[in-house]
Amino acid sequence: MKSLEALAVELKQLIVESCERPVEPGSITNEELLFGPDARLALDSLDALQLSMAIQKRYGLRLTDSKETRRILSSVGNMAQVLETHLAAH
Amino acid sequence: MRPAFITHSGLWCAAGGTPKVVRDTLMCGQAAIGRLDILGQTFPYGFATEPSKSFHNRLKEGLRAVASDLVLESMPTDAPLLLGSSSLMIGLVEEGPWPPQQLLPTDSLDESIRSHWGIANRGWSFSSACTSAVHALDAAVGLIETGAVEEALVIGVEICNRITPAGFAALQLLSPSAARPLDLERNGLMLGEAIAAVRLSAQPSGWRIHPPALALDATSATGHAPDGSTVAAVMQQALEYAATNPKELRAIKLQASGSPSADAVEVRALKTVFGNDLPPLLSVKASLGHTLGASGLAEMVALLQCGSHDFLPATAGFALADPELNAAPNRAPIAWKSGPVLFNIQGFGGGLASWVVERR
Repeated sequence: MKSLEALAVELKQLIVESCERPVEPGSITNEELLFGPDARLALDSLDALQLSMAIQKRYGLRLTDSKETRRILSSVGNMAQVLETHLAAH
Repeated sequence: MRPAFITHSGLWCAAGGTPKVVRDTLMCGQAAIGRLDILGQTFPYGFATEPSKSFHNRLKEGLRAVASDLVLESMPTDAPLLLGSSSLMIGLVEEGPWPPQQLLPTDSLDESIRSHWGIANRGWSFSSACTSAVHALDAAVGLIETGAVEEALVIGVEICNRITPAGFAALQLLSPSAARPLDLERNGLMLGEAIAAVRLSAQPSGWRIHPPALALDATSATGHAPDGSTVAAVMQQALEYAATNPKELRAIKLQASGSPSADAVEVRALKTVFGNDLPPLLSVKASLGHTLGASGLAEMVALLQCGSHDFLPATAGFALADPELNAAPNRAPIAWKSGPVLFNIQGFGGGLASWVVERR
Protein backbone atom coordinates (compact mmCIF):
# COMPACT_ATOMS: atom_id res chain seq x y z
CA MET A 1 0.00 0.00 0.00
CA LYS A 2 1.55 3.29 -1.13
CA SER A 3 1.47 6.31 1.15
CA LEU A 4 -0.26 9.49 0.09
CA GLU A 5 3.11 11.19 -0.22
CA ALA A 6 4.53 8.39 -2.42
CA LEU A 7 1.48 8.66 -4.70
CA ALA A 8 1.89 12.44 -4.85
CA VAL A 9 5.53 12.07 -5.95
CA GLU A 10 4.50 9.63 -8.71
CA LEU A 11 1.65 11.89 -9.84
CA LYS A 12 3.92 14.93 -10.14
CA GLN A 13 6.22 12.93 -12.40
CA LEU A 14 3.21 11.71 -14.42
CA ILE A 15 1.86 15.26 -14.88
CA VAL A 16 5.19 16.60 -16.12
CA GLU A 17 5.67 13.67 -18.49
CA SER A 18 2.15 13.33 -19.89
CA CYS A 19 1.47 17.06 -20.24
CA GLU A 20 5.08 17.73 -21.28
CA ARG A 21 5.69 20.73 -19.05
CA PRO A 22 9.28 21.97 -18.57
CA VAL A 23 9.17 22.04 -14.75
CA GLU A 24 10.89 20.02 -12.04
CA PRO A 25 8.27 17.54 -10.69
CA GLY A 26 9.44 18.18 -7.12
CA SER A 27 8.64 21.88 -7.47
CA ILE A 28 4.88 21.15 -7.74
CA THR A 29 3.19 21.36 -4.35
CA ASN A 30 0.30 19.12 -3.33
CA GLU A 31 -2.08 22.07 -2.97
CA GLU A 32 -1.02 24.00 -6.08
CA LEU A 33 -3.86 24.56 -8.59
CA LEU A 34 -2.89 22.95 -11.87
CA PHE A 35 -5.55 24.20 -14.31
CA GLY A 36 -6.44 27.60 -15.70
CA PRO A 37 -4.53 30.56 -17.12
CA ASP A 38 -3.50 31.76 -13.63
CA ALA A 39 -2.00 28.40 -12.61
CA ARG A 40 1.77 28.02 -12.93
CA LEU A 41 1.45 24.91 -15.13
CA ALA A 42 -1.64 26.38 -16.87
CA LEU A 43 -3.04 22.95 -17.78
CA ASP A 44 -6.16 23.03 -19.97
CA SER A 45 -8.92 20.77 -21.25
CA LEU A 46 -6.64 18.92 -23.65
CA ASP A 47 -4.13 18.29 -20.84
CA ALA A 48 -6.99 17.01 -18.67
CA LEU A 49 -7.85 14.36 -21.26
CA GLN A 50 -4.21 13.40 -21.61
CA LEU A 51 -3.72 13.21 -17.84
CA SER A 52 -6.90 11.19 -17.23
CA MET A 53 -5.75 8.68 -19.87
CA ALA A 54 -2.31 8.45 -18.25
CA ILE A 55 -3.86 7.87 -14.79
CA GLN A 56 -6.13 5.18 -16.20
CA LYS A 57 -3.24 3.46 -17.92
CA ARG A 58 -1.01 3.49 -14.85
CA TYR A 59 -3.47 2.94 -11.98
CA GLY A 60 -6.59 1.57 -13.66
CA LEU A 61 -8.68 4.47 -12.35
CA ARG A 62 -11.40 5.50 -14.83
CA LEU A 63 -12.45 9.10 -14.68
CA THR A 64 -15.79 9.22 -16.48
CA ASP A 65 -17.74 12.13 -15.04
CA SER A 66 -16.35 15.34 -16.49
CA LYS A 67 -17.23 17.56 -13.52
CA GLU A 68 -15.85 15.04 -11.05
CA THR A 69 -12.74 14.66 -13.23
CA ARG A 70 -12.20 18.41 -13.13
CA ARG A 71 -12.42 18.37 -9.32
CA ILE A 72 -10.11 15.38 -8.93
CA LEU A 73 -7.46 16.73 -11.31
CA SER A 74 -7.47 20.22 -9.82
CA SER A 75 -4.47 19.48 -7.55
CA VAL A 76 -1.96 16.73 -6.83
CA GLY A 77 -3.38 16.41 -3.30
CA ASN A 78 -6.90 15.68 -4.61
CA MET A 79 -5.59 13.17 -7.14
CA ALA A 80 -3.50 11.34 -4.52
CA GLN A 81 -6.46 11.02 -2.12
CA VAL A 82 -8.79 9.61 -4.79
CA LEU A 83 -6.08 7.25 -5.99
CA GLU A 84 -5.36 6.00 -2.46
CA THR A 85 -9.06 5.13 -2.01
CA HIS A 86 -9.18 3.49 -5.46
CA LEU A 87 -6.04 1.40 -4.87
CA ALA A 88 -7.21 0.29 -1.42
CA ALA A 89 -10.43 -1.04 -2.98
CA HIS A 90 -8.71 -2.93 -5.83
CA MET B 1 -31.53 33.26 -47.92
CA ARG B 2 -28.50 35.43 -47.42
CA PRO B 3 -25.02 34.43 -48.65
CA ALA B 4 -22.19 33.06 -46.49
CA PHE B 5 -18.58 34.22 -46.71
CA ILE B 6 -15.20 32.96 -45.56
CA THR B 7 -13.44 35.67 -43.56
CA HIS B 8 -10.45 33.83 -42.02
CA SER B 9 -8.71 30.50 -42.52
CA GLY B 10 -5.92 28.49 -40.94
CA LEU B 11 -4.17 25.26 -41.91
CA TRP B 12 -1.61 22.95 -40.30
CA CYS B 13 -0.58 20.05 -42.54
CA ALA B 14 2.34 18.34 -44.27
CA ALA B 15 2.65 21.34 -46.60
CA GLY B 16 3.20 23.70 -43.64
CA GLY B 17 1.69 25.41 -40.62
CA THR B 18 1.40 29.00 -41.84
CA PRO B 19 -0.27 30.39 -44.97
CA LYS B 20 3.07 31.47 -46.40
CA VAL B 21 4.75 28.09 -45.93
CA VAL B 22 1.73 26.22 -47.33
CA ARG B 23 1.68 28.57 -50.31
CA ASP B 24 5.41 28.26 -50.93
CA THR B 25 5.27 24.46 -50.65
CA LEU B 26 2.40 24.21 -53.11
CA MET B 27 4.04 26.71 -55.43
CA CYS B 28 7.33 24.83 -55.60
CA GLY B 29 5.89 21.33 -55.66
CA GLN B 30 5.80 18.52 -53.18
CA ALA B 31 6.06 18.61 -49.39
CA ALA B 32 8.67 16.59 -47.50
CA ILE B 33 6.75 13.36 -47.00
CA GLY B 34 7.70 10.92 -44.22
CA ARG B 35 7.19 7.19 -43.83
CA LEU B 36 4.86 5.37 -41.46
CA ASP B 37 5.44 1.76 -40.36
CA ILE B 38 2.23 -0.25 -40.41
CA LEU B 39 1.76 -4.02 -40.29
CA GLY B 40 5.40 -4.68 -41.16
CA GLN B 41 5.40 -2.38 -44.17
CA THR B 42 6.26 1.29 -44.60
CA PHE B 43 4.03 3.74 -46.40
CA PRO B 44 4.47 7.41 -47.31
CA TYR B 45 2.59 9.70 -44.92
CA GLY B 46 2.04 13.44 -44.77
CA PHE B 47 3.23 14.31 -41.26
CA ALA B 48 2.50 17.85 -40.13
CA THR B 49 5.11 17.62 -37.35
CA GLU B 50 7.73 15.25 -35.92
CA PRO B 51 6.41 11.68 -36.19
CA SER B 52 7.53 10.87 -32.63
CA LYS B 53 5.31 13.50 -30.96
CA SER B 54 2.31 12.37 -28.93
CA PHE B 55 -1.31 12.85 -30.02
CA HIS B 56 -1.69 15.48 -27.32
CA ASN B 57 1.28 17.49 -28.54
CA ARG B 58 0.33 17.18 -32.21
CA LEU B 59 -3.17 18.45 -31.46
CA LYS B 60 -1.93 21.38 -29.41
CA GLU B 61 0.70 22.31 -31.98
CA GLY B 62 -1.88 22.21 -34.78
CA LEU B 63 -4.44 24.24 -32.83
CA ARG B 64 -1.78 26.82 -32.00
CA ALA B 65 -0.79 27.09 -35.67
CA VAL B 66 -4.32 27.63 -37.02
CA ALA B 67 -5.47 29.86 -34.13
CA SER B 68 -3.03 32.59 -35.10
CA ASP B 69 -4.72 33.00 -38.50
CA LEU B 70 -8.28 32.84 -37.21
CA VAL B 71 -8.10 35.93 -34.94
CA LEU B 72 -10.21 34.09 -32.38
CA GLU B 73 -10.34 37.02 -29.99
CA SER B 74 -12.73 38.77 -32.38
CA MET B 75 -15.14 35.79 -32.56
CA PRO B 76 -18.56 36.47 -31.01
CA THR B 77 -19.15 34.09 -28.08
CA ASP B 78 -22.43 32.86 -29.55
CA ALA B 79 -20.71 31.73 -32.77
CA PRO B 80 -20.81 27.91 -32.77
CA LEU B 81 -17.94 25.52 -33.49
CA LEU B 82 -18.67 22.79 -36.03
CA LEU B 83 -16.09 20.03 -36.13
CA GLY B 84 -15.51 17.34 -38.73
CA SER B 85 -13.19 14.42 -38.05
CA SER B 86 -12.99 10.83 -39.14
CA SER B 87 -10.77 9.53 -36.34
CA LEU B 88 -11.68 12.09 -33.62
CA MET B 89 -9.44 11.27 -30.61
CA ILE B 90 -8.57 7.68 -31.50
CA GLY B 91 -4.87 8.60 -31.29
CA LEU B 92 -5.30 9.50 -27.63
CA VAL B 93 -7.15 6.23 -26.96
CA GLU B 94 -4.28 4.33 -28.62
CA GLU B 95 -1.81 5.88 -26.21
CA GLY B 96 -3.94 4.92 -23.20
CA PRO B 97 -4.48 1.44 -21.72
CA TRP B 98 -5.02 -1.35 -24.22
CA PRO B 99 -7.60 -2.71 -24.77
CA PRO B 100 -9.46 0.55 -24.08
CA GLN B 101 -11.58 0.38 -20.93
CA GLN B 102 -13.68 3.39 -21.73
CA LEU B 103 -14.85 5.19 -24.82
CA LEU B 104 -14.41 8.88 -25.25
CA PRO B 105 -17.70 10.62 -26.07
CA THR B 106 -17.91 11.74 -29.70
CA ASP B 107 -18.16 15.38 -28.64
CA SER B 108 -15.09 15.28 -26.36
CA LEU B 109 -12.88 16.72 -29.10
CA ASP B 110 -15.08 19.72 -29.96
CA GLU B 111 -15.70 20.36 -26.26
CA SER B 112 -11.97 20.23 -25.54
CA ILE B 113 -11.13 22.56 -28.43
CA ARG B 114 -13.80 25.09 -27.40
CA SER B 115 -12.53 25.02 -23.84
CA HIS B 116 -8.86 25.15 -24.94
CA TRP B 117 -9.49 28.21 -27.11
CA GLY B 118 -12.05 29.76 -24.74
CA ILE B 119 -14.57 30.24 -27.55
CA ALA B 120 -18.01 29.12 -28.73
CA ASN B 121 -20.54 28.06 -26.13
CA ARG B 122 -22.07 25.62 -28.62
CA GLY B 123 -20.47 22.87 -30.68
CA TRP B 124 -21.39 20.01 -32.96
CA SER B 125 -19.29 17.10 -34.20
CA PHE B 126 -19.62 15.38 -37.57
CA SER B 127 -17.95 12.06 -38.35
CA SER B 128 -18.80 10.65 -41.78
CA ALA B 129 -15.40 9.43 -43.05
CA CYS B 130 -13.84 11.65 -45.74
CA THR B 131 -16.86 13.97 -45.99
CA SER B 132 -16.83 14.81 -42.23
CA ALA B 133 -15.53 18.38 -42.50
CA VAL B 134 -17.78 19.12 -45.49
CA HIS B 135 -20.81 18.09 -43.43
CA ALA B 136 -19.64 20.53 -40.74
CA LEU B 137 -19.17 23.17 -43.43
CA ASP B 138 -22.65 22.50 -44.82
CA ALA B 139 -24.24 22.92 -41.39
CA ALA B 140 -22.37 26.19 -40.81
CA VAL B 141 -23.33 27.61 -44.23
CA GLY B 142 -26.94 26.68 -43.50
CA LEU B 143 -26.89 28.39 -40.09
CA ILE B 144 -25.59 31.59 -41.67
CA GLU B 145 -27.81 31.52 -44.74
CA THR B 146 -30.95 31.06 -42.66
CA GLY B 147 -29.97 33.85 -40.28
CA ALA B 148 -29.62 31.55 -37.23
CA VAL B 149 -26.09 32.87 -36.54
CA GLU B 150 -23.92 35.71 -37.79
CA GLU B 151 -20.66 33.75 -37.61
CA ALA B 152 -19.52 30.15 -37.26
CA LEU B 153 -16.17 28.43 -36.90
CA VAL B 154 -15.66 25.20 -38.84
CA ILE B 155 -12.71 22.95 -38.09
CA GLY B 156 -11.49 19.70 -39.62
CA VAL B 157 -9.17 17.57 -37.50
CA GLU B 158 -7.30 14.43 -38.49
CA ILE B 159 -4.35 13.56 -36.27
CA CYS B 160 -1.87 10.78 -37.07
CA ASN B 161 -2.76 7.48 -35.40
CA ARG B 162 -2.13 3.81 -36.15
CA ILE B 163 -5.62 2.32 -36.39
CA THR B 164 -6.70 4.37 -39.41
CA PRO B 165 -3.73 3.62 -41.68
CA ALA B 166 -3.75 -0.02 -40.50
CA GLY B 167 -7.32 -0.33 -41.79
CA PHE B 168 -6.39 1.17 -45.16
CA ALA B 169 -3.24 -0.98 -45.34
CA ALA B 170 -5.21 -4.15 -44.59
CA LEU B 171 -7.53 -3.31 -47.49
CA GLN B 172 -4.43 -2.81 -49.69
CA LEU B 173 -5.51 0.72 -50.53
CA LEU B 174 -2.26 2.49 -49.65
CA SER B 175 0.45 3.35 -52.13
CA PRO B 176 3.90 2.06 -51.16
CA SER B 177 5.48 4.99 -52.97
CA ALA B 178 3.51 8.24 -53.40
CA ALA B 179 0.18 9.81 -54.31
CA ARG B 180 -0.07 10.10 -58.10
CA PRO B 181 -3.39 11.75 -58.97
CA LEU B 182 -4.74 10.63 -62.39
CA ASP B 183 -1.28 9.29 -63.28
CA LEU B 184 -0.81 6.15 -65.36
CA GLU B 185 1.22 4.63 -62.51
CA ARG B 186 -1.10 5.61 -59.66
CA ASN B 187 -1.17 2.81 -57.14
CA GLY B 188 -3.09 3.92 -54.07
CA LEU B 189 -3.62 6.52 -51.40
CA MET B 190 -1.08 8.41 -49.32
CA LEU B 191 -2.59 9.44 -45.99
CA GLY B 192 -1.75 12.55 -44.00
CA GLU B 193 -2.73 14.59 -40.95
CA ALA B 194 -4.15 18.10 -40.82
CA ILE B 195 -6.05 20.65 -38.81
CA ALA B 196 -7.88 23.15 -40.98
CA ALA B 197 -10.35 25.83 -39.97
CA VAL B 198 -12.42 28.61 -41.50
CA ARG B 199 -14.48 31.39 -40.00
CA LEU B 200 -17.74 31.87 -41.87
CA SER B 201 -19.73 35.06 -41.64
CA ALA B 202 -22.78 36.82 -43.02
CA GLN B 203 -20.52 39.85 -43.50
CA PRO B 204 -19.19 40.04 -47.06
CA SER B 205 -15.57 39.13 -47.76
CA GLY B 206 -13.58 38.29 -50.86
CA TRP B 207 -14.63 34.61 -50.68
CA ARG B 208 -18.23 33.50 -51.04
CA ILE B 209 -18.98 29.90 -50.17
CA HIS B 210 -22.04 28.22 -51.65
CA PRO B 211 -23.89 25.34 -49.96
CA PRO B 212 -22.30 21.92 -50.50
CA ALA B 213 -24.26 19.26 -52.35
CA LEU B 214 -24.05 16.08 -50.27
CA ALA B 215 -25.10 12.52 -51.01
CA LEU B 216 -24.59 8.89 -50.09
CA ASP B 217 -24.03 6.30 -52.81
CA ALA B 218 -24.77 2.78 -51.58
CA THR B 219 -23.25 1.04 -54.62
CA SER B 220 -20.58 -0.66 -52.50
CA ALA B 221 -18.95 -0.45 -49.08
CA THR B 222 -15.91 1.37 -50.41
CA GLY B 223 -16.57 3.04 -53.75
CA HIS B 224 -19.12 4.80 -55.89
CA ALA B 225 -21.12 3.87 -58.99
CA PRO B 226 -18.42 2.82 -61.51
CA ASP B 227 -20.02 4.84 -64.33
CA GLY B 228 -19.53 8.03 -62.31
CA SER B 229 -23.25 8.85 -62.39
CA THR B 230 -23.62 9.60 -58.67
CA VAL B 231 -20.46 11.71 -58.53
CA ALA B 232 -21.71 13.61 -61.60
CA ALA B 233 -25.15 14.21 -60.05
CA VAL B 234 -23.57 15.75 -56.94
CA MET B 235 -21.27 18.00 -58.98
CA GLN B 236 -24.25 19.09 -61.08
CA GLN B 237 -26.25 19.89 -57.96
CA ALA B 238 -23.41 21.96 -56.48
CA LEU B 239 -23.22 23.99 -59.70
CA GLU B 240 -26.98 24.55 -59.51
CA TYR B 241 -26.79 25.62 -55.84
CA ALA B 242 -24.18 28.20 -56.84
CA ALA B 243 -25.98 29.14 -60.08
CA THR B 244 -22.61 28.69 -61.77
CA ASN B 245 -22.21 28.19 -65.48
CA PRO B 246 -19.69 25.30 -65.89
CA LYS B 247 -17.81 27.38 -68.46
CA GLU B 248 -17.07 30.01 -65.79
CA LEU B 249 -15.21 27.58 -63.52
CA ARG B 250 -11.58 28.56 -63.03
CA ALA B 251 -10.74 25.02 -61.94
CA ILE B 252 -11.98 21.86 -60.24
CA LYS B 253 -10.24 20.64 -57.11
CA LEU B 254 -10.56 16.91 -57.58
CA GLN B 255 -10.80 14.14 -55.03
CA ALA B 256 -8.07 12.42 -57.14
CA SER B 257 -6.33 10.53 -54.39
CA GLY B 258 -4.27 8.32 -56.73
CA SER B 259 -6.62 5.37 -56.36
CA PRO B 260 -6.70 3.33 -59.60
CA SER B 261 -10.47 2.86 -59.53
CA ALA B 262 -11.77 5.99 -57.74
CA ASP B 263 -9.79 8.37 -59.99
CA ALA B 264 -11.34 6.68 -63.03
CA VAL B 265 -14.86 7.06 -61.57
CA GLU B 266 -14.26 10.76 -60.96
CA VAL B 267 -13.04 11.32 -64.53
CA ARG B 268 -16.11 9.54 -65.94
CA ALA B 269 -18.26 11.85 -63.82
CA LEU B 270 -16.38 14.92 -65.06
CA LYS B 271 -17.00 13.91 -68.66
CA THR B 272 -20.70 13.39 -67.91
CA VAL B 273 -21.00 16.93 -66.56
CA PHE B 274 -18.54 18.82 -68.77
CA GLY B 275 -18.16 16.64 -71.87
CA ASN B 276 -14.65 16.69 -73.32
CA ASP B 277 -14.24 20.40 -72.63
CA LEU B 278 -13.00 19.97 -69.06
CA PRO B 279 -12.11 22.95 -66.86
CA PRO B 280 -8.54 22.90 -65.44
CA LEU B 281 -8.24 20.01 -62.96
CA LEU B 282 -6.04 19.91 -59.88
CA SER B 283 -5.27 17.79 -56.84
CA VAL B 284 -3.21 18.64 -53.74
CA LYS B 285 -3.09 15.14 -52.25
CA ALA B 286 0.56 14.57 -53.17
CA SER B 287 1.47 17.59 -51.03
CA LEU B 288 -0.92 17.20 -48.08
CA GLY B 289 -1.64 13.49 -48.17
CA HIS B 290 -5.26 12.36 -47.98
CA THR B 291 -6.32 13.89 -44.69
CA LEU B 292 -9.57 11.92 -44.58
CA GLY B 293 -12.20 13.62 -42.40
CA ALA B 294 -10.35 16.93 -42.55
CA SER B 295 -9.60 16.74 -46.27
CA GLY B 296 -12.53 18.81 -47.57
CA LEU B 297 -11.58 21.73 -45.40
CA ALA B 298 -7.78 21.25 -45.54
CA GLU B 299 -7.69 21.17 -49.35
CA MET B 300 -10.04 24.14 -49.62
CA VAL B 301 -7.96 26.23 -47.20
CA ALA B 302 -4.74 25.27 -49.00
CA LEU B 303 -6.22 26.64 -52.22
CA LEU B 304 -7.62 29.76 -50.52
CA GLN B 305 -4.13 30.50 -49.24
CA CYS B 306 -2.77 30.20 -52.78
CA GLY B 307 -5.76 32.09 -54.18
CA SER B 308 -5.09 35.01 -51.86
CA HIS B 309 -1.90 35.37 -53.93
CA ASP B 310 -3.85 34.98 -57.19
CA PHE B 311 -2.81 31.45 -58.14
CA LEU B 312 -3.84 27.82 -57.95
CA PRO B 313 -0.93 25.39 -57.70
CA ALA B 314 0.24 22.80 -60.20
CA THR B 315 -0.67 19.21 -59.36
CA ALA B 316 2.28 17.50 -57.70
CA GLY B 317 2.71 13.77 -58.21
CA PHE B 318 1.44 13.68 -61.79
CA ALA B 319 3.89 12.73 -64.54
CA LEU B 320 2.39 10.27 -67.04
CA ALA B 321 -1.04 10.63 -68.60
CA ASP B 322 -3.31 7.58 -68.47
CA PRO B 323 -4.69 7.00 -71.97
CA GLU B 324 -7.74 5.26 -70.51
CA LEU B 325 -8.66 8.35 -68.51
CA ASN B 326 -7.80 10.82 -71.24
CA ALA B 327 -7.72 13.62 -68.63
CA ALA B 328 -4.75 15.27 -66.97
CA PRO B 329 -4.44 17.69 -64.06
CA ASN B 330 -2.74 21.05 -64.44
CA ARG B 331 1.05 20.86 -64.55
CA ALA B 332 1.63 24.57 -64.05
CA PRO B 333 0.02 27.12 -61.72
CA ILE B 334 -3.28 28.69 -62.86
CA ALA B 335 -4.40 32.25 -62.16
CA TRP B 336 -7.27 32.63 -59.64
CA LYS B 337 -8.00 36.33 -59.37
CA SER B 338 -11.76 36.00 -59.49
CA GLY B 339 -14.48 33.50 -60.29
CA PRO B 340 -15.66 30.14 -59.01
CA VAL B 341 -13.77 26.93 -58.24
CA LEU B 342 -15.58 23.61 -57.74
CA PHE B 343 -14.42 21.30 -54.92
CA ASN B 344 -15.01 17.52 -54.91
CA ILE B 345 -14.74 14.99 -52.12
CA GLN B 346 -15.55 11.32 -52.65
CA GLY B 347 -15.63 9.47 -49.36
CA PHE B 348 -15.12 5.93 -48.17
CA GLY B 349 -18.48 4.29 -47.51
CA GLY B 350 -20.25 6.16 -50.29
CA GLY B 351 -20.12 9.76 -49.04
CA LEU B 352 -20.04 12.44 -51.75
CA ALA B 353 -19.66 16.19 -51.56
CA SER B 354 -19.19 19.03 -54.06
CA TRP B 355 -19.34 22.75 -53.50
CA VAL B 356 -18.35 26.04 -55.07
CA VAL B 357 -16.15 28.79 -53.62
CA GLU B 358 -16.18 32.03 -55.52
CA ARG B 359 -13.45 34.65 -55.41
CA ARG B 360 -15.06 38.11 -55.69
